[in-house]
Amino acid sequence: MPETLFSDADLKALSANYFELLNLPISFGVDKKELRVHYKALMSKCHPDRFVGESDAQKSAAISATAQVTQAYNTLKSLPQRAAYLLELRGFAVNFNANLSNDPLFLIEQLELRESLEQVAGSKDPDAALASVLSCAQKLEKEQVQSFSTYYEKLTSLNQSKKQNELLQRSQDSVLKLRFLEKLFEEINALQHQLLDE
Amino acid sequence: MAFLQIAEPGQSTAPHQHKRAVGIDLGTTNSLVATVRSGQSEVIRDAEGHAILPSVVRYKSHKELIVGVEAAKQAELDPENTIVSVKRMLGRSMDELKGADLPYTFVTDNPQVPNIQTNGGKKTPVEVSADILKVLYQRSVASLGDDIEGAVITVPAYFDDAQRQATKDAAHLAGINVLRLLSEPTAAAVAYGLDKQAEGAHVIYDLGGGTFDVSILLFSKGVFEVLATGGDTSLGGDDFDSLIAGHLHAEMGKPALDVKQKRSLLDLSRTAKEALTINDEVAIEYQCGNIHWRGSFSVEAFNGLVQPLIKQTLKTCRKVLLDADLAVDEIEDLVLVGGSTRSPIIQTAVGKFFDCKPLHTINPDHVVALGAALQANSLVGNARDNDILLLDVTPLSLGLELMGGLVEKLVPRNATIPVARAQEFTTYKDGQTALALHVVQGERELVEDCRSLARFTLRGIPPMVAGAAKIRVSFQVDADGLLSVSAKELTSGVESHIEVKPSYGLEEGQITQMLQDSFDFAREDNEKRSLKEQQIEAGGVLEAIKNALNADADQLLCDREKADIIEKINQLDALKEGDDTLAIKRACDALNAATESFAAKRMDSAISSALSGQRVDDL
Repeated sequence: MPETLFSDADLKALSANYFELLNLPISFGVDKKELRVHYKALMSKCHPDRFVGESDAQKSAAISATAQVTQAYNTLKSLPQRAAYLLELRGFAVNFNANLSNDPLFLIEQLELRESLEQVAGSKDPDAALASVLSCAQKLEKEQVQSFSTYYEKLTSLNQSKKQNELLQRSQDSVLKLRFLEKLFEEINALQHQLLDE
Repeated sequence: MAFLQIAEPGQSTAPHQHKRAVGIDLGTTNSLVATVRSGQSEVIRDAEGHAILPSVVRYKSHKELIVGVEAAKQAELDPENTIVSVKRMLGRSMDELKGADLPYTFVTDNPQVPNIQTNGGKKTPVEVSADILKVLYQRSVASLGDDIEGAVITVPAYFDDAQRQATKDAAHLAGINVLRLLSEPTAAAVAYGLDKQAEGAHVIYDLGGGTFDVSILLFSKGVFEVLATGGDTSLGGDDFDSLIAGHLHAEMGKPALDVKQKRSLLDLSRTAKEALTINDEVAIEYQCGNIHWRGSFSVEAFNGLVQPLIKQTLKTCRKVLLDADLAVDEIEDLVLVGGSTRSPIIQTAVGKFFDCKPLHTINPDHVVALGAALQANSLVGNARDNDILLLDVTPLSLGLELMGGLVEKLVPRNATIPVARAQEFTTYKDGQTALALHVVQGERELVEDCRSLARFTLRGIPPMVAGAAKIRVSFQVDADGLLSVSAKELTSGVESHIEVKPSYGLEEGQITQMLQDSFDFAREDNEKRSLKEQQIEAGGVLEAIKNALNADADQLLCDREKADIIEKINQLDALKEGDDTLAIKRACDALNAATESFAAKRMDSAISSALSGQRVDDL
C-alpha cells in the first residue's frame, strides 16, 4: 500500500538540498548510474500514481514532491547546472549573463567550433566532420570539468582566504564555459537530426 | 462510485478485495476496452462478440445516435451527421481545422471550439469522443458490473497539453473516473510484459491507419520511462492504399475516375494489401461503373511501392535513437503496434534496422488497450507484486513569450513529468503595474511559430523602475501531462494563477512540422532572434535615454552635447524597425558612446544630491 503520508524521514529529505535529497555526497563528481538509480527509487515512492485513490491534497503533494525530485535530478545531471548549484550552496549565485571577455582564447575556440559546425552540412563527409566537432567539444568539456573540480576543491579546503573571490570568479567562468559547451552539444544534436533529413 | 464495504461484526473487510478497472484505447479509427480477469488482460466484447468499436458516431436526431459498426456503414449515406476520425479534431481550434477537408458544417460562434452542426444538435469533438467512450463504458459495466473504480485512457505519446486535456474532458463527460492518461507506446510495452523482463531499452513502432510514431522506453529499477518519442502524423496504412491505387490505376491505363470509383479502387487496394500479408500474389478484379478491369498484384510490386514510405519511418527511428542517446545494439526488444505492421515487408525492414526479432504475437489492434487494462489494474491496487512505475515525458517544450516575440523555454521537450520549473522575469517599463503572460508550446524561438496555449495577466504590481520588479513564473505539469501556470511578484507578494485549460490543441501534424521547422530553420531562427534582440535593446536604450534627457538635460548638458545625442537618437529611431541587425547595433553603440559623459554627469549629480546637506564626515 502507498503510505497515506510521507514518513517524517521523507519530508525531511524533501526539504534537504539536491545532493542530500538524492543521497549523494556533495561533490562535483557524480556517479551517473548512482544518480539514476536513486532518482528512480525516489520517483517510485513519491509519484502521484502511488496515490491514486487518495485525497487531492495528497495527490498535489505528490506532484510537488515528484517535481522537486525531478528538478534535483535534472540539476545534478547537467554539468553546468550541477556546478552552479554547488557554488549556490556556498552562497555564491552564478551570473549566467556575465561575459567571458577575460578569456578570448576560449571564445575564439567556440567561434571556430560553431563555424565548423555550420560547414558540416556542406562538407564532403558530413558525418566525419560532425564527429570531429563532437570530439573537440568533448575534449573541451573534459578540460572544463577538470578546471572546475580543481577550483571547487580549493574553495572547499580554503578558510576565508583572500583567494576566495578569485577562485569563485574562476569557478563561475568554468560554469559559463560548461554552459557554452552544453549548448553546443544541443546544436550538434539538432544538426544530426537535420543530416538525417537530407 | 465504489459501494461502501460493510463488514460483518467481528469480521474485517477482505484485505485483497479485487477492484475493477478498465483500460481504454480511444483510437482514430477504432476504439476498444479491456480489463484484467484472473490476472489476464482481455478485451471486453459487446453482445455480438465484437471487440473493436469503430470510432464513428452518427447523430440521427436529438434522440437517436448510433456509435460503431452501424454508424461506420452509414458514413457514406449521411456524411454530414456521421463523425469519423474525431480524434484528429480533439483539442484543436476552428482555425486549425480549416485546412482539413471535412464534410461537416461547423458553427463558428466560438473560434476556439469547433462545433459540428448535426441532426442531434451542435457537437464538439469532446462530446463526440465522450459518446464513443460511453458505449465502451456501458460495455464494461455490462460485463463487470457498475462498481468500476475508473479507467486508464491511452493517448499518443505526441499528444500535447490541449489534446490530453480534451481527452480527459471527454472521459469526464462520459462519467468515467480517469485514473491516468497513459501514452500508447507505454501501454503496448506493458502488454508485452516487457516490464517483467530484464532491464533494458525497448522500441515501440506503431504504424496505424493514418499515423506513425515510434518511441524508445527504458525499463530499469521497476521504472518504465519514455526516453524519446517521434513520428509522422500524416503517414500510415492509408498512404499504402493510395500508392497501390495509383499503381493499379496506371496498370488500367489511367482511365478517368469519379469519386465513387476512386473510393471503390481504394477499398480494393486495401483488400489487396491485406491479402498480400499471407499470399505472394493476388488476382485483382475491378468493376465499378463503366470500368471493368482484371489483373494481378504481387508482393514484389507492393514492396517496391512502399519502400520509400518505410525508409521514411526508419529515418524517424534514427532520430529517436539519437534523442534517446542510444545505439541500435542497445535495443533489447522491438514491439510492433498498429494494423499496418501486419505487412511482412515492414516486419522484415524494421526488424533488420533494429537488429531484433520483432514482437507481434499480440493482436496489434488490441495491444494498447490490453496494456492500459494492466496499468489500470495496478493503479487501483490489484497488482501489489508488480508495482511498476510508468514515467511519461512532455512531447513539446513549454515556455513564455518575452518582449519582442521571443520564447523562453521553461520546460524542455522530453522532460520527465510531473515537472515544475520556475523562472524570474522583470518589468520592461518604468511604473509598469501589470504583466501579460503568454504561455506557448513548441520548439521554435519566435512566438509566432509556436502554439499559443493560454494568456493571463498579473496585475497589481507596485510601480517601480523598469527591471526592479521580480516576477516569479512557475510552470507545473502533472503526471497526465497537463500544465498549470502561476506568477508572483516577489517584492509585493501579488499573485496570479491559471490552469492552462485550452479549449483546443495543436494539430498532430503540426507538432511534427513544428519540431521539423525548429531543426531546419535553426539558423534562420538565430538570425531572426538576434535581430529581434537588437531591436528590443534599441527600444530599451532609446526609452532610457529619452527619459534621462527629459529629466536632466537642461541642467547638465550644453546645447552642442544635447544636439549630438538627439542626432544619434534620431539615427537609431530611423533604423530600429529595419532588418539590418548590424546597423542597429552600431547606432546603439554610437548612442551609448554619445551619452557616456552625460551618464557620468548624471551619476555625479545623483551622488551630490544624495550627499547634499550632509557633511562628508557624517557618513
